[in-house]
Amino acid sequence: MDIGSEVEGFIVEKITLDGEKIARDEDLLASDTLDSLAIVELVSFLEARFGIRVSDDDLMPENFKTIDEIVAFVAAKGG
Amino acid sequence: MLVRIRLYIQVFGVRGMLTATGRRLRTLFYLNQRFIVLLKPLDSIVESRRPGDLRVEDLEAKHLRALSELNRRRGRPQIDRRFATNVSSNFHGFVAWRDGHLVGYYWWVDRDAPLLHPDLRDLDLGIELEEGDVYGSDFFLLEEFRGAGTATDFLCKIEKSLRDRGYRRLWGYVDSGNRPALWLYRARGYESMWILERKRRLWLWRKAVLPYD
Repeated sequence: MDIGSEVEGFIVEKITLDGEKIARDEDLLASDTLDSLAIVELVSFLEARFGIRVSDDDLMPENFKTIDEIVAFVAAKGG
Repeated sequence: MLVRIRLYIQVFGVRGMLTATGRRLRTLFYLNQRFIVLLKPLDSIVESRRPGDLRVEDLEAKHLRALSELNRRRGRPQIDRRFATNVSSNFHGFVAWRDGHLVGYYWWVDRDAPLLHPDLRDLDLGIELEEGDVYGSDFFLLEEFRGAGTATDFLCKIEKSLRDRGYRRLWGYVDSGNRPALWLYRARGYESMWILERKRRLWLWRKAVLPYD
């Protein structure tokens, strides 16, 4: 499974909980999908699953706005 | 003191109380703090997509009793005194209600406040309030009411209320280790202005203001 599918699976199963597919370019901030608690869960998942370290400075909207951007961020971190 | 300890044990358990005591004692001699100073232009408020059922109103002296109950619920009754001082100092604030319960609060001052806000006085954040500026602090929402965009909804209502009073810029700060808060502010368009690092070694404090890259 590719990074994007894993990230989408995590968001659907653990955050939105509605089973609805999420488009890779859907704005997760505008839809309030990634609220302040969800981001902590997502970062923990990314760190554990892909072995990356997400610093406080990485916690920027441009890194987490869409699944595509999360994938690019994980790849840039070497995950 | 004993009442406070008993309350803390009720809320957090014996282990939680011992951990907090140890942490508190440690900070008397060794402390690293990294605060990010934030600025939000109030002319660019993004509406919350999930406007919740929080009712937000101005914080007044009549709310101190409900705030005291909330502080007990979170195991921090010692904050009551600071809140009473804030009210008597004519500091402003908001309270959030849900289903008849007070579930959150927020404090703010402008440059006309009769007393300097303790953060601006004691932390030396480097913020100079100008005409149209507000300094906001202590954004809090009870843990069981967090999630599902509730904090975003609360903060959005605060920003709009301040904007509607004619303010143009909202200052604040966040502890860089507080990831939920850091994300909340960044996702709502707060700009990181500079970093304040404070270090305590025994009785010596060292402070450095760093640019935010």
